[in-house]
Amino acid sequence: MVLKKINSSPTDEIFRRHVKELIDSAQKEILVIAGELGSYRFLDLKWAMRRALERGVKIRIYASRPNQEIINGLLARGCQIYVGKEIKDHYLIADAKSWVHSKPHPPILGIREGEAHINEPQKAKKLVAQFNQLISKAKAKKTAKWNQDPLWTALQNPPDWGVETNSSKLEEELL
Amino acid sequence: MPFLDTNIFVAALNKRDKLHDKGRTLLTKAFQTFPWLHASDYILNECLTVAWARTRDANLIQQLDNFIQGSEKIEILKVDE
Repeated sequence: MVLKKINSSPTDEIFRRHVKELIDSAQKEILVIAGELGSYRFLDLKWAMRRALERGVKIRIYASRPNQEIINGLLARGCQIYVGKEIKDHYLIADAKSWVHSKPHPPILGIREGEAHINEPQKAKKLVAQFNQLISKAKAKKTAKWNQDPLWTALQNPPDWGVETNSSKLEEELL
Repeated sequence: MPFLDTNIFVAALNKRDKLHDKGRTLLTKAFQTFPWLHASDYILNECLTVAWARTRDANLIQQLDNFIQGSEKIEILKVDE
């Protein structure tokens, strides 16, 4: 059993490193209890989740306010997503034995603190039970809505850079 | 699965690019046709570098970053060292 305190860091990089290590250690199942799933926007965590899916890890997520564009990608990759009431303490639990706890904090980058618990199956069981209780009262998300993807939105109304470019001669654009 | 290079992003995402219509049509069709589109962190970097070099507009850079990196349709691959 190992308990590691996670202190705040400017871009939550210490927190993300612990989460990434936990995701990379998972062999069977990852459970997530979160709010907006905003951390998934960081490429290190997004890549870790994709690696987990590629090695056959099952991912189930409970979130209170997940962004549709994030849901799209997760659903399309086979994750199960449930939406329900807000939970202040957030968790990522790997293989029902280890977890990272993110303590309640305002939605500001760089103040997140928490704990990493490695190989504590008895306590992890309680979190798994909490997760199952939460999803029993939550609504399962089933459908991706690609018309809410940021790239699709941009293609409907592309920005005007205010200058002409020639994409067939990019080397000249960089001079 | 298609791999998107920098020029398609610049063409599709700048109304004033010389190949804008063609780029926008191609990227729209690719978006609708394939489950995923691939690019790399270098491609993202190059696209933002072109935009920054030409505009010095930080808001535009943030917008483009969100369009590309924020899109779940695009798999951004990490280039190995």
